[in-house]
Amino acid sequence: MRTGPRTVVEALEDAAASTTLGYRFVDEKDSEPFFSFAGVERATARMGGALQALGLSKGERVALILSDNTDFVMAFLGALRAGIVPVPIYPPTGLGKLEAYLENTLHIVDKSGARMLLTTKDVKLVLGTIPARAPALQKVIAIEELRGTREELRPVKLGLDDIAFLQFTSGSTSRPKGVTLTHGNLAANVRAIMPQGLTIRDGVDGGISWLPLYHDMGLIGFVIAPLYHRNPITFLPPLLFLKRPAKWLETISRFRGSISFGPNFAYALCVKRIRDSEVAGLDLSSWRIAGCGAEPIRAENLRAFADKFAPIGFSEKAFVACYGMAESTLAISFSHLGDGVVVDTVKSDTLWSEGKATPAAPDSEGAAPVVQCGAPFPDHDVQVFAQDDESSANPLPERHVGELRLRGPSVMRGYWNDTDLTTRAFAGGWLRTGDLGYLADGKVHVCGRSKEVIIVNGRNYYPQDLEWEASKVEGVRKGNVIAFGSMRTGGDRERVIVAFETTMAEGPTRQALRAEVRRVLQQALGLTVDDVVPLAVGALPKTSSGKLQRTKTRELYEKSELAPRESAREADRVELVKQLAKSQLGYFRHALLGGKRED
Amino acid sequence: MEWTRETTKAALLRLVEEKTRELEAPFADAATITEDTRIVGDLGLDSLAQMELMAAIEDHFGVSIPEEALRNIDSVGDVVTTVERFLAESGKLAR
Repeated sequence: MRTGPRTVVEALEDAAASTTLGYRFVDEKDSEPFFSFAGVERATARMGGALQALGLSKGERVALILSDNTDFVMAFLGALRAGIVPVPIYPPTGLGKLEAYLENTLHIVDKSGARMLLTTKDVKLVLGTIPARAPALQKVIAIEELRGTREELRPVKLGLDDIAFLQFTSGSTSRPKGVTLTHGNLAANVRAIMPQGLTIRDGVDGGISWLPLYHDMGLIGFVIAPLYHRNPITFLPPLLFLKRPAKWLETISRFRGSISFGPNFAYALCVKRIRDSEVAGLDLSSWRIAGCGAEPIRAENLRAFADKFAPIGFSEKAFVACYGMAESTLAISFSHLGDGVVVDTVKSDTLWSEGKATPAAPDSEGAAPVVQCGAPFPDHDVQVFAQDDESSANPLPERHVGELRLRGPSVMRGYWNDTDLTTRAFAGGWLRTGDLGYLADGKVHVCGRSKEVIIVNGRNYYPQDLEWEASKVEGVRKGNVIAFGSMRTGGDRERVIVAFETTMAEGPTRQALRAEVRRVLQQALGLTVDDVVPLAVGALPKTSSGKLQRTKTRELYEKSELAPRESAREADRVELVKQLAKSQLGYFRHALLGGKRED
Repeated sequence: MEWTRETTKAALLRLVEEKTRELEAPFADAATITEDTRIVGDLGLDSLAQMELMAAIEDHFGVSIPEEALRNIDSVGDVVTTVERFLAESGKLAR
């Protein structure tokens, strides 16, 4: 076996020595095809050969919209082996919202300059005029046509500096951006994650993942990283997890999985949805690494999960709090293995007014819990800087809140075909994460996103905290609250707006709910909220990963598209919703038949 | 058990109504659920609630509704058509 950093392709070729370890793909029909790494090597060689035979060559992009895990993995790795740059795009899932999906897909296809798009027969039908509207796109291919392919892969010389793939992020502050990752980035981050962060045992530790493969945590964490360390992985379809969360735990128990990751919401969903009878007889004692990342971590959600599943062998110490972002390939730091969730309790008032994380007693008044995400990986550096420190000249001392910035071999080269955004992503050679946080004992603590901080009378407020407090009010849908500041809506100071989804009917009950939210925030944070906006379920915009989008909500609010829609509903809400559905259908039809959006 | 078109439709309407109320869908009380009712547009079910509804439907009828089938579902009527199709495929629908 080769030593030193390897390309993903070299890692795959090395792993192919194994005919017993590999990927298992569980599907909804309870069939579960298994491919040893030797089998993956053969299948991806044919797929890479098929893409070459279609006329694609090294460095050219191919967009992938494949919801089936087996199809996705083989096409993605096949492209990599041919040096073709895959651009994963999330498939249309669930019901409705197709028009927003098509708009986002068009943007990614166009920006990436993909010459071909590989998808399934039925998605091909849904794409409508996207091919006509993305000038570089020459062909949409249905994967069904390539399944029986016997093409030979023509070997391509690849090095660590070659681009592996483009990861388009639905970053919560702007439209999708194409993070450009090289094989060198991937090798560096996999090394940080697997041997260094998680002390993975080669060929021994096995993973279970329902995470979507068009997202970095599923793709890099459970497809790419395991190739480097020959870890057997069992994949579940993401929708199967959403439909039957117990399947996740059942699969971990059945295959004695030791590694599995999920965002905070996944652990909360298990607590809410899984009945004790569904997990009776399961054994989670093999699960030694339960990673939590990709969205803000709430210690109480994880504690509830641990409490609920301790009787079937889950250990709270298995939790690993993860901090990362696509611009850093995947991971930036992990909490120390075996420690579980470690919370730093600080005084919330000095955190806001002075930007200092002063330790406080856990039960004292105004104490805020901040989840600790561990120390930066070897060869990587994380420091905190004032946001206006454009050259990253003066790192702030410990326990001072500022923008977290990162440098090291996992950091992306830049955004694809966007020098302007790339320039703005760095400050004096450091990647600006856009996240606010502090270091304590050299460990990373994240408190929020810098661009979303609300400043009132010289004091900083973190939207997450407003949202958390508002979530406690009965009638407010937990996790469906957005707080933001708005400069545009009148006055000379930033106004504070809290929008949330509620199932309560319009009228006096909602008015009382608005007043209660205002009262609770006033009491908890000493902050007067300027506007409280109750909305129907589903009215707040979400990203592909389900993360609520503050920026979009602010935009809608400032264009008066959030509130008036609501008040109009009070007059005749059902009629209005039907009107909206019709106008969306109108837009969809319009988009399919060509022409411009009329908004 | 064997289903007919009538019993399938009646059971689905009841199931959707029960589930939307249980999941606290925003417009659960707004109107009677008919085949024209849209799952997202009229009932306001979010993506997690949609999946919970699908799981309940699968359990009730003993069929599996694959991911690809979901894309074609907009209204309750679409759910009825889809479930009928999978019941027929598994020989549970009376001719």
